[in-house]
Amino acid sequence: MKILLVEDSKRLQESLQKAFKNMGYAVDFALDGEEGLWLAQNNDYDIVILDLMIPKMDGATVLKNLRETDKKTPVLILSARDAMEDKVGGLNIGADDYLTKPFALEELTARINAVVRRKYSSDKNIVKFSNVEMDISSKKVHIKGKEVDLTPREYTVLEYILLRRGKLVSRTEIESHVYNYSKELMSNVVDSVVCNIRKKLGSSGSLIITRRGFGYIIE
Amino acid sequence: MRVTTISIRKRLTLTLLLVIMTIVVAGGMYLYVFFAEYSLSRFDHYLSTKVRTVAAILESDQGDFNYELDKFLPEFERKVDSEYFQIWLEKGKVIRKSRSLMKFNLPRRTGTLNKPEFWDLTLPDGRPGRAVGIHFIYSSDDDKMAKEYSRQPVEIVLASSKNKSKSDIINFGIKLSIGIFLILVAIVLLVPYLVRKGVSPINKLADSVSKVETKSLDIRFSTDDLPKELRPIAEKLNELLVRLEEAFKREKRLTADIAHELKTPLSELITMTEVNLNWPASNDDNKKTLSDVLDIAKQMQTLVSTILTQVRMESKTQRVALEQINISTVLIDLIKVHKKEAESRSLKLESSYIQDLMVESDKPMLYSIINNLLSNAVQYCADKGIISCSLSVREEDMAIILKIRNSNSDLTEEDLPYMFEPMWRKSKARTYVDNSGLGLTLVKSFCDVLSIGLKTELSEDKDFCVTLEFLKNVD
Repeated sequence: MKILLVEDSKRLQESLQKAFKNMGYAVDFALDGEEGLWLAQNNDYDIVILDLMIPKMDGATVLKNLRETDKKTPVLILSARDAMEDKVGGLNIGADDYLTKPFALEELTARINAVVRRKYSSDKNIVKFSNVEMDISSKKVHIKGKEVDLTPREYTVLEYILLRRGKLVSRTEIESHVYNYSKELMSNVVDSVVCNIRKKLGSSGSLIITRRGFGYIIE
Repeated sequence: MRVTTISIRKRLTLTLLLVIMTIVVAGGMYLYVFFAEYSLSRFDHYLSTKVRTVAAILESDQGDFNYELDKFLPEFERKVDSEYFQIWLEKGKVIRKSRSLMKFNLPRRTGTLNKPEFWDLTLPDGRPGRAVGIHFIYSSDDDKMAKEYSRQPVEIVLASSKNKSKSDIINFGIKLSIGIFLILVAIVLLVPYLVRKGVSPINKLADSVSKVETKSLDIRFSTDDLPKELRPIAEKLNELLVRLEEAFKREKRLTADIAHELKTPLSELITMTEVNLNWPASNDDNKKTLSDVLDIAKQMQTLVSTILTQVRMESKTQRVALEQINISTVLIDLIKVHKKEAESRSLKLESSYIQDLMVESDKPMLYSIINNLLSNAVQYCADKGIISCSLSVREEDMAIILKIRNSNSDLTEEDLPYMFEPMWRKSKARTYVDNSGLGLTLVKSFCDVLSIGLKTELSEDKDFCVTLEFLKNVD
C-alpha cells in the first residue's frame, strides 16, 4: 500500500513514516499543501492522509482541488480541529474519513485499512485464495492455519496483487505503490520479492501467474 | 420581582380600548345632558313665548279674549293634552284663566317679562308639567279694559306638560345609546386590528431577532421598510450582531488555535512513543526520540505557562511590583541575548540609545515585553535584513520612546489590528514552531497594566516598527 502523508509537523511526520514503513507501507510525504497536491495529482496513492492547517495551501483547498480532477484517491483528514462543522465540512468536500489529533496509531491504521478496503470494494478483513488466508487488519498470512513468515515488503506486494485479483498488475505499478516515491529501484527488485513470496506460499505460490512483459495476476 | 408577560400589542389594545371607550361613553353622557338641558331651555323658550302671546292677547282684549284663544291657542280649551294659564291682578283677583283649568288654579309665582320665572309642577290632570310666570303693568287702548285694569300690575302663569320634551329627550337618549353601542362595537373591532397593523413592524423585527442563533450571526436586519422609530433599534442590533459575530469568530478561532497548539505536540508525543514501543529503535534513535520528547514537553510547559499568565492578566490577578529600572541596561542586555541568533541568520542588529534612562516599571514584565519584541523582530525579519532598536527621549513631553524595527516583514496593514490578539499568527497553517502566538498578546497586556503606549506601523518598504512610549516614567 502506498500512502501520501501531508503534515507540517516534522516530528509527527517522521514518526508516522517510521510506523508505516515498519507496517510495510510505502510512504511519500509533503510538508505543505502545494507539494501535497502536486504529489497527489501526479501519483497513484492508495490513500492520502491530509492535515488541514498546513502552509501555502490549506488542506481543505488541497482536497477541493484534488476532487476537481479525476483523482479518486481516498483521503483521510488528520486534524487537530475537532468541531462538528470541521468534520462535516471535511467529509462534505470529499474526504473519506476524518480523525482528530491526538490519535492512537492503532486507530489510524484501522481507519486507513477501512478506507482502502472500501476503495477496493472489499468488506472483509480476511481475503482468501486457494488455501491461503490473508488478514488485512493484522497483516498476517496463513496457509491451513499456519502463519507464513512474510517480510513487510513481501506482505505488501502480495496484498497489492491479491486485492486486485483478476486484474493484471504491472511491475511499475507495484514499484510505485509499494516503494517510496524517491527511491530508485533495481529492475528486478519486484521479481525478486514475488519469487520469495511464491517460495513461502509453497504450492499456492504458483497461483501468482507471471505474464511476461506485462506483470502479475492472481486469477 | 414579578415578570410582566403581557405583550405590548395586548397592553396597547387594552389601554386604547379602555381610553377610547371611556371617552366615547363620557362624550355620549355629556351629549345627553347637553341635549336634555337644551331641550329644557327650548321648552322654557316656548313657554315664555307663549306667555307673552297670552299677555299680548290680554292687552288687545276687546271682549273676545276666549275667541282669540280658540282661534290662536286652542290647546287652552281642549280637555285632553291641554295647556293652562291663569291671570291675576296684583291683589289676587283672577281676571282670566283657561277653560282647561276648570275649577283648578295655578300657583302664583312670577318673574318679569324679560326674566320670567320657570318651575316644575304637577298639572291639574296629574301630568308632570312646567310653568312660567310673569308680571307686567297692564296697558290697553280699549276704553273698557283701560278703565278696569289700566296701569295695574298683572300676573300671568302658564303651564304645559313636559311629556313631549321628556319623550324627545328619551328618544334622543335611546338613539344616542344605540349610536354609542355601534361605535363601541366598531372600536372593539377596529382598535385591535389597527394596533396589530401598527405594531406589525415590531413583530416583524422581533421575528427576525428570534431567528438569530449562534450559527446565524451573519444575519442583518433591513432598515429600509422599518418605521423611523424602529430604525435606530435595528441599526443598533445590526451593530451588536457585527460585534457578536466578530467575538464569536475570535472565540472560535482562539479555541481552535489553543486546541491545535496543544493537540499537535500531544499527537507527536503519543505517536513517537507508540512507534518506539512497537518498533524499538537503536540507542541513537532512542536518544533523538527522548530529546524530541523533552523539547515537546518544554514547549508545552512554556505554552501552558504563557496561557496561565495571560489568564491572570485578563483576570487582573497578576501581581505588579513597580520599581525604578534602568531601561537602557535592559535593552543592552536583551540585544546581547538575541544578537547571536540574528548573526546566525546574517541579520544586522543595530542599536542607538541614551545611557541610564530610568523608568518606573515591573522588571519581569518589562524584560518580557522587550524580549518578546526583539525575539519577534529577529524571527520575522527576512534573511540579511536589518533590525534596529532606538531608545530616545521625545522633546515635546520628555517621554521615553523605544522603537524596534525589522526590515522586509511579510505583514500587511490588515494584519496590524489583529496581531495582538491571542494565538494570532500570520500563517493560518500554525505550523508548530517555538512560539505559540501568545507573545504579542502578553506584550499588549503588560503594556496596558504598566501604562506603556504601544503602537505599530508598517512602512512602504514593509519595515515593521513597534513603538513603546513610557509617558509617566520620565526621569
